[in-house]
Amino acid sequence: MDPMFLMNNLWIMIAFILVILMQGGFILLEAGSTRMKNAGHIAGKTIFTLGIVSLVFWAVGYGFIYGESAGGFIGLSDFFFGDFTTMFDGLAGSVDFIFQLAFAAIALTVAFGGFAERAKLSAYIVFAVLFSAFVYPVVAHWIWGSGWIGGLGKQDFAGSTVVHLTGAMAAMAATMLLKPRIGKYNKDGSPNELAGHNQVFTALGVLLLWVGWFGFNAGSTLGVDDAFFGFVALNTQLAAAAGAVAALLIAWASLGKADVPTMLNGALAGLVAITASCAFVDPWAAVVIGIIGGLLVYYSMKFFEKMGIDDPIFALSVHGAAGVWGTLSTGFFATPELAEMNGGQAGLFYGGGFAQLGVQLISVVACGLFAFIASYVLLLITKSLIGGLRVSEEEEIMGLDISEHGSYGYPENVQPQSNKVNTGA
Amino acid sequence: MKFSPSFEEGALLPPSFDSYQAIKKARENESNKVAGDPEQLNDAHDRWVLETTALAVHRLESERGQVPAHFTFFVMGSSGRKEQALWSDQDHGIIFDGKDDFYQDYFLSLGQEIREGMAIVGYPRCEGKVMASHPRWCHGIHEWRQQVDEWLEKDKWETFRHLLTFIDSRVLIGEEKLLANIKEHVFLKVSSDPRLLERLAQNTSYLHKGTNAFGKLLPEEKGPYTGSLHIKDVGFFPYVHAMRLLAIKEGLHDTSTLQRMEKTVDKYSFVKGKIENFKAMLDLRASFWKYHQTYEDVHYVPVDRLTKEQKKTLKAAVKEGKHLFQQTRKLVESGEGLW
Repeated sequence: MDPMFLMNNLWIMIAFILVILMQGGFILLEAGSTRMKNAGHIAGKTIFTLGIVSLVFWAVGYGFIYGESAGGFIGLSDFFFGDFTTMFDGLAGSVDFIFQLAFAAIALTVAFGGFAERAKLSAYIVFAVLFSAFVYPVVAHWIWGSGWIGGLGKQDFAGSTVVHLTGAMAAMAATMLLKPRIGKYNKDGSPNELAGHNQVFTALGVLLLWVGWFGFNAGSTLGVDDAFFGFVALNTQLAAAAGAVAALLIAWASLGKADVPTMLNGALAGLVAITASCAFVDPWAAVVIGIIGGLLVYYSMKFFEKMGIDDPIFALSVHGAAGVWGTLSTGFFATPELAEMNGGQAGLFYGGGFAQLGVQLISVVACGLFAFIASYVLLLITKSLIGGLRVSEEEEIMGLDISEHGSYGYPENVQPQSNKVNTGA
Repeated sequence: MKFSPSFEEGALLPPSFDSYQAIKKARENESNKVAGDPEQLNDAHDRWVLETTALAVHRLESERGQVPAHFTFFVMGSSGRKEQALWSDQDHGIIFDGKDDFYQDYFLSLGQEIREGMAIVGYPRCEGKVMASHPRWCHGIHEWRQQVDEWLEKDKWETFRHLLTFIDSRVLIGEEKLLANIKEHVFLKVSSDPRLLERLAQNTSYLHKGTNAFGKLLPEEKGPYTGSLHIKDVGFFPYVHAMRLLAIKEGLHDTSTLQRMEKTVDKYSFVKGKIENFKAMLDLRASFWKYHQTYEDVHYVPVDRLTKEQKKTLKAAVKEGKHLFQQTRKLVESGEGLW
């Protein structure tokens, strides 16, 4: 066997494992950012929806993305993937398949950020199927398959748009339909702090995601040729670092407090932003992209909260706002050499004019709109199928651990809220 | 509202009201007239608490017989400093002329009666239990001195906090000399040990940030007071803490921050100009009295309702307060002029 072929496949298997481990990061991040009474539910739903997305991706998702394109809109072959002889992108088909599956799972988990602490378990199940079949694969086909945006020369190396923006738009549709959590806003519209129960979990979650991101971005090289994955990893590290520092400094300067959740979101925003551009920009630009991502996430968090949109895990800011910025950033910073190597054209700051920026903008608008509208419609369908997306007021107050699963993530530490309320019933 | 005039001289006379509810009603009737003027409001608070205390004494005497010893009932906190807003919680204590073994039980009962009476009149119980109903704040003169010594010897954050609370005490009923005696004892102790004042300064050294790096006021971002500035923590406390330290250093019995500033301004140049800032904040808070419905409300001023000029004044006051505290701390840490 060709050693290079073997190395490439081994590298992508490692990358797949890293990306799957990011689900562990999301468990810690989400559970830590929400209240104790929902911790077990959040951890559990992440695992079983990983199961759902895996099955759906195997059945139809991969085929919709990489199957024979129907007019650049959707693929229509290669369903129920399973031929061990196939080859794709110089990899064993199964290796490529499983790596792509992990990305679909990340997009779904991002989308579920908008569900946190108030969506029915059945809403998770139904929407996991619908999103994995009809939202993510469409956008992925447009950009990474043989779709119409890919044909324009769109630069999205590892998925700022495909994975993060798509997930964030679904999260936005969900959070708008679900409405804010009980107690998030006062009657006059002023927000309350519904603090997460464990900042250590949140920080560990971010660290785990950060590590996993090397599989996400560097793995997207799909091979070990020239060890280009090292350059991608370098840009990834720099952007994450710059995002964390920038977010901490802006929060400190503006609020007078070095807010930990904002700093953590800054690191994630840097990672999300560099995801599109990691193979197209110089390291100094990665730092700038990370800094802007970190600043952007701070203002975005404030903006959504002011708009009355309750985004418990900050998915809209971290994955949405930073996803948009990351996608646009190659339109500014892509170097001619790297663009030639990885596709598309040089950015505005390298004499490429507005051409690449225009492509990036079109893709953000088209994919963002599609993901939002499709998710909104699918959520309305879900709502009608299961009789409402949101748990009852009593269930929300007692927590989803007990109301949806019958046991607490922290049985010794959580008292059923409903028991404390003497309703006279 | 009719008050017993002699209470202002510290004498114990029969109460003018026959129920706490009646005092509460009288308070409600009068408060609107004085709420906008910090000085008048604090005089009124004194009268309402005096009447409540007089009624409490009267009720306890009818149950347990005459007060067994001379005593001093004093107030602390913002009441002690005469810096109360429209709503205020309870902070008070008792010193009696005699031994704990003989009289503390009686005076603790008096403290409990006062506590319950004040709660009815509209002064919430102190969450930290700084009330004459608690044995820590109700002692004979000898035990008070002992307790102060213990507080200083223990050298704990909590015990120093108790001492700082006590330093703001002001007599409302009874003989001034009982309280003055204990305070003199504190001043003597502190002046004889250079380390103590520094330790006291450390106890209140945390300052809440009032402005951000861009010079903007920092109102609450979340919760029911979104958009409002916690003027107590951000505005008043740096002045209060600084001037309390200077009062201890100088052996001043005055409790109001303004009086303390007036008494020290000639000696310490960094106090100059701060009196106007503090007054401006008292007036600013009083001007929002109509928005103050609860005890928690009085700690906030809505930044979005401030005029440009008021914002400027508040920013300057916050900045100057920080400067005042930093200079005071520096002075205390340097030991200059102390020993």
